[in-house]
Amino acid sequence: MSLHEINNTDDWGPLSGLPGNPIMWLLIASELFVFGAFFIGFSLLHITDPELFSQSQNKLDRLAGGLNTMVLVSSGLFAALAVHYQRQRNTLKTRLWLAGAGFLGVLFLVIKWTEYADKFNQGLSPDSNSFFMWYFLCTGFHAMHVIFGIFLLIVIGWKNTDENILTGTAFWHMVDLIWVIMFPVIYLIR
Amino acid sequence: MPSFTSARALIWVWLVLIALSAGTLFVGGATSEESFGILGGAAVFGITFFKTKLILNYYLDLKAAIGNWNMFFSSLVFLILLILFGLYCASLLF
Repeated sequence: MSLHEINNTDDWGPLSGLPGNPIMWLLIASELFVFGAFFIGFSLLHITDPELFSQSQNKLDRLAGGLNTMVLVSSGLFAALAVHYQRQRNTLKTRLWLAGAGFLGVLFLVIKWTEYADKFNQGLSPDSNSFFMWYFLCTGFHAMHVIFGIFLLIVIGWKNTDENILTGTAFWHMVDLIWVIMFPVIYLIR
Repeated sequence: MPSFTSARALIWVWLVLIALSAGTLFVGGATSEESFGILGGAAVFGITFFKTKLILNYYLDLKAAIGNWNMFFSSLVFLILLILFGLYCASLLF
């Protein structure tokens, strides 16, 4: 099955060459710009106040962040397999893999919440210093995308047209892609 | 026209992504507090770019996209990572 066969028939010009609804790809590009700007702001703190950056970053749980990377990458596989079975017209397997992707999304949020709870117990909050302001801003904004992504996975599992599946899973992979960049920038680079 | 990714290929990509994630954690040092310098930083950003390429090419299936969209999104991610690496190098110098 070709891209054109599974895409909608609307003429989006050059954007028609992308899988799924082109509006989602505009969103993906704009999200990359927004998060990219966040990460640049975060990295500038590393230059302007290296002592604060280093002391604060050492309070982060790198293992939890690494575990969450593996959780999201695995949920990305599940979403990609859902697309694979959608192309084979296997609705049951498509829905099962979407459910699996959503479950791992929930697991990601649970791990993230555990991290937040640990920080709050240490008296660390967005008001503590500029490092933690950026930390909570970037990871919190991303977590909101995960929540929306889970909602989207439920919707596309229900209204499972080819275009919906491609578009919804593209959003989910975007969430995955941004975390893959965010993890080293916030947790590792020092 | 390029074909879509098979289930077997997707699983291989996932295995590589998991291995690279573990590799990033290893290079970045899960428990160490020391700076790992420009070479370590280059390794972390290099691995990160490779991971993003795998997600773009196979999970998002951009290798099957018509036109230069794969190049566009790869370049955008590369540019962001290049700026971040440049800022990291600057933080080591100043």
